[in-house]
Amino acid sequence: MNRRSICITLAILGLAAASAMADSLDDQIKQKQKEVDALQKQVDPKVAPLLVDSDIRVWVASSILTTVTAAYNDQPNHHFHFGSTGEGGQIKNSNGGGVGCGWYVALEPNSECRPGQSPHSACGDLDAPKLSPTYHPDGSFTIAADYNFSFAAQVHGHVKGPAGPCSLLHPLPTCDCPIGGGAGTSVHAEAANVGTVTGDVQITADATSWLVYNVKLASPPSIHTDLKIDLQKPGGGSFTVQVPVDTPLPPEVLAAGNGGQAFNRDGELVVGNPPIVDRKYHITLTPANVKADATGYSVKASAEVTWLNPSP
Amino acid sequence: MAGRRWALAGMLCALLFCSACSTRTLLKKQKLQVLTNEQQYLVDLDKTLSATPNPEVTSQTSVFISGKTLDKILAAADNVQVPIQQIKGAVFHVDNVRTEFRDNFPIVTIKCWASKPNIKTRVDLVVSAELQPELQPGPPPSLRLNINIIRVVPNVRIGFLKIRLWWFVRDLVHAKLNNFVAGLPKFDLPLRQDFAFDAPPKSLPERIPTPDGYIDGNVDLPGYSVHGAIKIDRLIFLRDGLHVLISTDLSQRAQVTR
Repeated sequence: MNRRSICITLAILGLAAASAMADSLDDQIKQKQKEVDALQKQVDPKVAPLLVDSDIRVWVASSILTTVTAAYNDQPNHHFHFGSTGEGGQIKNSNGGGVGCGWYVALEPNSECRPGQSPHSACGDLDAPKLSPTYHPDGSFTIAADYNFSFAAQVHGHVKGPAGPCSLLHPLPTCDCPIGGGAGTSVHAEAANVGTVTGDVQITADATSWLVYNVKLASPPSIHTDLKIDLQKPGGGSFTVQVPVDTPLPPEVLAAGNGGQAFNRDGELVVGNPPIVDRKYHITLTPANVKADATGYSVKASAEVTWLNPSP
Repeated sequence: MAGRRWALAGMLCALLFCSACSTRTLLKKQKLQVLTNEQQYLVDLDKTLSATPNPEVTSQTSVFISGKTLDKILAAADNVQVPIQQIKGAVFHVDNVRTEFRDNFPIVTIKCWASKPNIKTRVDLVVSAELQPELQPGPPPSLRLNINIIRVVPNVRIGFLKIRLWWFVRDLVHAKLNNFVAGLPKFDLPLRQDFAFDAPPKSLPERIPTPDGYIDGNVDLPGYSVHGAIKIDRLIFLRDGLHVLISTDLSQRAQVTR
């Protein structure tokens, strides 16, 4: 066999081997494609319910909302404080009856309801150390908290003098003209109560945040305490009066905040190294659909991209 | 002498053909690998959805970005023209880069062309590639989507004559184009790395009614803030876009008091 024949034979054998390998790969590719197509058909009905019909969607599990309340519970200070700034009328006026012409109780101005609380003559303090959240199947969210409440005041208790004549023309004794100034004392009074408050949490979204929440108290409308105040009688002795004080719980939004942004709305697109394209963009999100259900809370938004620098 | 010419010609043809075959074989192996990856993705997806029909309930948060939104960002690469540094006088032009999402790694189609005006040659190219995710460890952690070429279709125009090139030239062009694609956009998901709830302290006026009057005052409400980090649990590509499942690691900050 001469060299020409050997070269041609080798060339043909090489070509045949390469062709055989290529055919084997073609078969493998075809088979693999078939398997992929079959898997796709199997997956189709499972995927359909997961598809989203908006540009952006953010979903938050109900469990994360309880995680946030847990973080509140872990913090050291759960104290709410009321300090008085003024008074109208009197706390209580018996308007006669009882001892002589009666008695009244009013705040002692510019005093201290408790040491260090000047000039607040009355103060209330509530501690709610633990929030217990409940997520409802309809997507609403409530919180409950056991509380300890105390109310304290520095009051002026005044017992009026006995009835007396107003003038010669009106000689009969009346409480319009009591005899003497009566007796007044400055008295510290405190009362306490425990109970449970509940609140409603509303969740929504706006252009600045995907999660905006506020908390409003739902119940009770007020916390009841009975102030027991010892009053001095003119001429000696004392008696105790009980004054009911119902401290309303604020109906306004107690806490409001937001979950920040899910996206860095400002980004940069870089192509190539060194860059062929280097453009900065801003995404504007417009929330369109807020939905809450048993699993959590979701918000969909449309997105518009604005370029901050021109293309090269 | 004639025998040597025959041998040389035969060997040259064989070399050329084998060169094409080896390149073609390489491409087929790449295609097979891509299909294998796609199959694995579908197997994992089927397994996940069979066990948990709605996977997002296994996470604390999920974020969805539609393919349409990503295309709006990619539109920045439309009609970009730059000189090809490796070839004097040649220009590389990108018409557009668009995504096609499916229940698998999404395909990226890059419509581009290269030309050398002085010899009136223009090569139109349509490059199809896949996006593949790669978790980048932090801090902060991020998700990068890399591009993997799966197909290139070129046309060559020389003057008025349009020649369609298959096989050998296409394979060669494809092999060289990997260098171009390495410079194509790498997506970094525009997700925040942190997560925060903030409720500032506030003071509310309050009137307490008493039996014969009222007490005015202010109720001071403490504020608090909760901050944490975001961790990507899983990324799911579906035909509508990108679904990212996230967990948060919330830690407290010092309470902001009145």
